[in-house]
Amino acid sequence: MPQKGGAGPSDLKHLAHEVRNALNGVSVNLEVARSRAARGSDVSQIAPFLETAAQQLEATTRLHKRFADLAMQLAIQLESKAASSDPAGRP
Amino acid sequence: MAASNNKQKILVADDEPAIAQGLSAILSDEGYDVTIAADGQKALSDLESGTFGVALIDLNMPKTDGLTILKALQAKNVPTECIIVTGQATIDSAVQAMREGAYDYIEKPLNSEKLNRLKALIPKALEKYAIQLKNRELVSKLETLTHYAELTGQSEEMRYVYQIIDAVAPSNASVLILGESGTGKELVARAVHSKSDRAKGPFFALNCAALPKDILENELFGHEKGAFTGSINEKAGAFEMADGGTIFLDEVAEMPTDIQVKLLRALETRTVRRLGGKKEIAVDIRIVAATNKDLQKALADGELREDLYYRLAVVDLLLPPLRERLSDVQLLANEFLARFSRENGKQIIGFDDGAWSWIHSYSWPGNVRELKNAVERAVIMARGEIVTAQDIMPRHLRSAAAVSAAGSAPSGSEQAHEQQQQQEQQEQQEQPQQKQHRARAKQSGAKVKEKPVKSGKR
Repeated sequence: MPQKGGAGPSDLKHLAHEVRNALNGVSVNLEVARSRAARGSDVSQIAPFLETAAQQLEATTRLHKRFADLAMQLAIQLESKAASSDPAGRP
Repeated sequence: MAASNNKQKILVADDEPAIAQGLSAILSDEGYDVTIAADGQKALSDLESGTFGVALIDLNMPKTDGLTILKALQAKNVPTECIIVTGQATIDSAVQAMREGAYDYIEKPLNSEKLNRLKALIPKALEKYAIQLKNRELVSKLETLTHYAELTGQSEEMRYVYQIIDAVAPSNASVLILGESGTGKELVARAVHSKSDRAKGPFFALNCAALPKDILENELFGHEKGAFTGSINEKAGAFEMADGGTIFLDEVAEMPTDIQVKLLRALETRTVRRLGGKKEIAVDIRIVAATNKDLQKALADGELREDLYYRLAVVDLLLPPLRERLSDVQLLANEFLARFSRENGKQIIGFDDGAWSWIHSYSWPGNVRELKNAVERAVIMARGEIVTAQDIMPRHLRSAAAVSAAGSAPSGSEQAHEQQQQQEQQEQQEQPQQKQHRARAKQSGAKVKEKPVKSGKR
């Protein structure tokens, strides 16, 4: 049961920002790898960016899990609030 | 690897290392010299150098955010073009960033399409940066065409004065500045000082006409303790205080002749003796003197010693009156208008046709000083954002103009004025060198030998 003063919309907003940053990291580093590969650059010039893209993708996965948990928490909070304002459960 | 000098510089300001390094790699591959700043403060300090053509700035950064950076760059007049990188949640900030002078903005996440757009934007932003630099260079060149040290003027006459200053400043030669009251003789003296190797030394100005004889002598040479009644402390004079620099003696022909003797001795021996003192004090000074007096008369009357004259006038420089450099009147009037509007907190944008007509037709006997005072008064009197003839014309001339307008035939004084204008027009057609020659002859007479400045610059 979520407690009073727990997760809120601002936490969700912050996490969304973090997810976007991580996705941005994936995108930018993949673009470096893609364009260098297209130019026939040496693997050593490409691999570090693929590695960073992979790390950013892992970070995105972690952040997504946190985002999902938080969204669930908020949903429960909202349901609980709705139930307490109308104990008879009338629509 | 060190970037070659011809690569254009780009700053990537982002606190996310993965993004900053990725963007850096993309832009390096495009041939740019990329620097990364991990926070806003570092970005601002890097950008203040003004050498970055473009900056990619993340809006949300620790220490100093992107908007603050933009404002600071605007305030400091840094020419770098900024492209803002922002998350969608801060789109309002991006709009604000554009208002603060950002070149463009790109929303995150930076996918392939947006990165291609970024790659296309950068050359255009760099082009704008280059145009800005070129504009600044042109403005600076224009500034050097119209200004010289604290002097303002783009006329041939003033350019000739600048040439003489350029030629004489690096030497240690004494300079005698001749010119009517209000022509800017002290500014010329300051220019000679500031363009010389003595520029870091003191500049000491003394008006010889403004002080009684005893005080002038004391001011020039100083005194020892007990030299005269009331001299309870020793005091260094202008020569000592200006050691390593320049002394400007204004109205030098007004100096009492017995002080002239002492001055001559000081100039010849490069030593001074304080009043009541016994020891000679070596001084390293350069003398620039000025006078608006009729030198021929002053020399003939014995008011100015001839030997001192020749010592002071190693190079003599005639500062033309304003009526002989009418092409500078508009430049000076506009400059004074801007200055006094600013100082008086007014939003005056210019002169109307009537004011210009009067400014150009008036002979300005008080020279630049009179013009300056007239513009200051006009700024204070002006009710709107334009200065009119009524605002700038002195009261006594306004009444005269009204009387003249009422009559039809030109008066005797008007005819005389026309004759004077014709003569002035004739004189204006002369070359600056001829003018200097004629005016020196007029001021100094045949007794004064011509001493042209020997310089390759002329």
